[in-house]
Amino acid sequence: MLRYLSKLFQPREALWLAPYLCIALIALGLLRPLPHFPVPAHSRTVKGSDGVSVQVAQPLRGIAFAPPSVPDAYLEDTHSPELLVYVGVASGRKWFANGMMSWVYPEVLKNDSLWNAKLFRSTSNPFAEIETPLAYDPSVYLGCGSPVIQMRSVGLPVLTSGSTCGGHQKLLMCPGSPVPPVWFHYPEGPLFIPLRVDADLIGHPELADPKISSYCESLDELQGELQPSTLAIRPRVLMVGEYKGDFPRAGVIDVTAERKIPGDDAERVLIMDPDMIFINGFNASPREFMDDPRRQGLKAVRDRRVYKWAHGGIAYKPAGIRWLAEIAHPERLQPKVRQLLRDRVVSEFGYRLSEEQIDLLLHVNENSSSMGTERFTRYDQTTSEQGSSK
Amino acid sequence: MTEAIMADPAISQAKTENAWTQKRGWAIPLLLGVGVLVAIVASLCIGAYPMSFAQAARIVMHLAWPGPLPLNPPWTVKEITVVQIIRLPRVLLATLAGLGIGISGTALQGLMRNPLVGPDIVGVSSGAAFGGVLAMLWDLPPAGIIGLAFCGGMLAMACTFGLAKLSRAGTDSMITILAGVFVGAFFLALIDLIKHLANDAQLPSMVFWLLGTFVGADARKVAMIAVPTLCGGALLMTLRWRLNLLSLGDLDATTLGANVGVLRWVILALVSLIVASQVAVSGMVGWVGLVVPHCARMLVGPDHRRLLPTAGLLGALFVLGLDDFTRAIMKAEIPVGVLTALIGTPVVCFLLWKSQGKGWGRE
Repeated sequence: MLRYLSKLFQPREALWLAPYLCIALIALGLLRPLPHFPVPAHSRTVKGSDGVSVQVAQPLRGIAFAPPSVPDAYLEDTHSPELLVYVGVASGRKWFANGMMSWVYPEVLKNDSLWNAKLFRSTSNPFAEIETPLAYDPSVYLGCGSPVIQMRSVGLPVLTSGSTCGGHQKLLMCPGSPVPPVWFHYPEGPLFIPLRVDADLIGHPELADPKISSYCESLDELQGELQPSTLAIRPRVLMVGEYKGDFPRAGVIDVTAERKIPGDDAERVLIMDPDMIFINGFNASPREFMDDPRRQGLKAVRDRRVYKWAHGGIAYKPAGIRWLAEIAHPERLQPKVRQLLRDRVVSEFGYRLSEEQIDLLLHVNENSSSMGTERFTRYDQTTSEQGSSK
Repeated sequence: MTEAIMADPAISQAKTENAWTQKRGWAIPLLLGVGVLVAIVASLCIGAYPMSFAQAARIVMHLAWPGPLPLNPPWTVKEITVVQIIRLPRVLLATLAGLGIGISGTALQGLMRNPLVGPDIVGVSSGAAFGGVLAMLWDLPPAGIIGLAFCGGMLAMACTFGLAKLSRAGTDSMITILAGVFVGAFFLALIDLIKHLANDAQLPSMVFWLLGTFVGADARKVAMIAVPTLCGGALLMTLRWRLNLLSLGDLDATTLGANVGVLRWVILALVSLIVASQVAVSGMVGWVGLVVPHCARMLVGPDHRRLLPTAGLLGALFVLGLDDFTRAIMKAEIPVGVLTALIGTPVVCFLLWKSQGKGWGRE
C-alpha cells in the first residue's frame, strides 16, 4: 500500500490526478448554500392560486412567464399586453398563434423580443428553459409546475395564477353553483381564482368582478333556457383526452370520473358505450375516430355523435358550455353560440371575430360529419338570424 | 538475429513511439486536464442567459475554492444562480459520466485483453438499466435507483462470466463477449417488459431516461455519480499497474505475483459500480466505453498507467462536447445517448478498417 502511495505521489504520476481533484473540488462547490434573490425594497403582496404569497416589486417593471407559458388566459383576464416583457419560447408562440388572443393582440404574436426567437429551444427541459426568463428583469414571473419550485427556491417572485397551468382551472364557479366532483382536488376552490389573481397582479383587482358577473349572467341565461332539472334524458358523455367540460351545466352526464381517458383504450370505451363522445387534442379527428373499425359497435359512432372538443380558448367559458349544451339538447336551445362568441369578444376587447375565426374556434370543419353540428355553420346561423329577425 | 529484429520497421516504430511516450507522456495529462477544465468553464457559457468565460471561471473558482464566498461578489445573483443551479450540475454530470465510462471501458478492455469490449457489450449497461427502470416502476427514491442499477449491473456481469465459464471457455474473451451479447439481449427484453408494465406517467420519463440524457441534472444527481465515479475511479487508478499484468494473460500475471481471480472480480465490481451510477443518473450512454479507449491508446499507448487516466479525461471531453453540441449548436434536447451511438459506430468502423482487423480477433 505504501509502495502504491509513494508511486502515486511521484510528481509525474500525481500530475494525472490533478484534473480529477479539480473536478471533485468543483463538484463540492455544488454543496454550497443556494444563492438567494433579495426581497425588493418596495413591494406589494399578491396571493397566487396555490395560496403562496409573492412580493411583487413596485412600480411594476413587467411580467415574464416561467415555462410553460400560456399567455391567453392572462391577456383575457387583464387586457394588458403592454406589461409583458417575456412570454415564452417559439413552440409556445406557435401554440399562441392558434388562439383567439393572437387575433385580438397581434402585437404580442409579432413582437420577437417577447418570444426570444433567437434563442429558440425546442425542449421540454424546464431547467434549460428557466435561463431565458432569467435573462429578463421583471417584477414577477407567472408559472406553474416544477420550474416554479426551482425558481422559488432561489427567492425569485413566481406567482401561480392557475390560468397559466392549463385551461382546467378556468372552471366557472358562480356563487351557489355545485362543485363537480372532478374538481375537488383544488382545495381552495373559490370563485374564478385565475381571474382574481391576474387582476390583483396588475394592481386592478376591481377588474375581476364585472367579468365574473357577466360570465355568471350568461350561465344563468343558459340554465333558464335549458332547465336542466326538467330534462327527461341526459346524454351520457365521454371525454377522450386530458380534460373535462362543465358537464352538469350542459345537462349531460359524465360516464367516467377519471380525469384522463386514453383515446386508444377501445375496450373500455366499448364497455362504457356513451351516447356522445368528445375528443380533446390538437390533432383529434372525429371522422377518423368514427371510421375506426374498432369503434363501429359504439352507440355514439352509429349515431355519428362524436365531436372534436371546442377550442381551448372557449371550452370552459359560457360560449363553450352553451356549445356543449346545444349539441346535447338542440330541441331546447336556440343556436346562439356564434352570436354569443362574436358579441362577447366585441364587448370585451372591441374586436370583431371573422366568420373563419369563429369556425376555427368551434371546429366547424372537423365536426362537419358529426350529427347536429349544422347549427354552428355560418349558413345555418345566418338563416336562423334572418328567421328570428323576421 | 538481433540485427534482424532491430531492422524490423514495426519494432523500430514501436520503440520510437515508446520513447516519445516516455519523454513527452507527461504533457498529455497536462493538456487533457487543462482541456477538461477549460471545457467545463466554456460549457458554462452556453445557454440562453448571457455569460462570459471570465465571469463563469470566476464563479467556478470561488465555488470550488474552500472558504466563504465574498460578501460583495463581482457577479449578480442571477449569474451565480445560472451557474450554480442550472448549468454546473449538467456540465459536471456529463463530465463525470464520460469520465466514468472512459475508465470503465479501458479497464474492461485491459482485463479481457480485447478491444471489442465495453460496458454495453458485456451487458453491464443493460443490467444496470434494467435495475434502474425496475426502481422507476416501483417508484423508488434516487438511492433505490442507483442501488438497483448497481445490483442489475453486477448481476449482468455475473451472468456473463458465469455463462462464459459454463461454456468451459474460461477467460476466452470472444466467448465472454458472446455471453455478454446474450445477457445484454436478455436484460433488454426485460426492460421492454417493464416498459410495457409501466403506467402512462412512468413510461415517457423511462423511455427518455433510457435514451441517455443529462436533462434535469441537479446537485443530488451529481453527488450520486460523483462519489462512485471518483472513488471507484481512484481505486481503479491504484490498480492500473495490475491491469498491465492482467493484460499479459492469466498465466503470466500469476507468475508475476498477481492474484488474478480476486483482482478480476475487484475490477469488475468497481466497473459495475461506476457504470451503474452513470446509468442511474443519465441512462444508457453507449459506445463511449468502446471508442474512447481506442483513441486514448493512440495518444499514450497501451500502458494502463497512462491509458486509464487518459481514457477518463478523453471520455469526459467527448461526452461533455456532445452535450454542448446538443445545447449550443442544435439547440434541442437530443438525448446524448443517441449522439454517442451515431458518432461511436462510424468511429469504431474506421478503427476496424485502419487496424485491418489486427488485435480485434482471438489471435
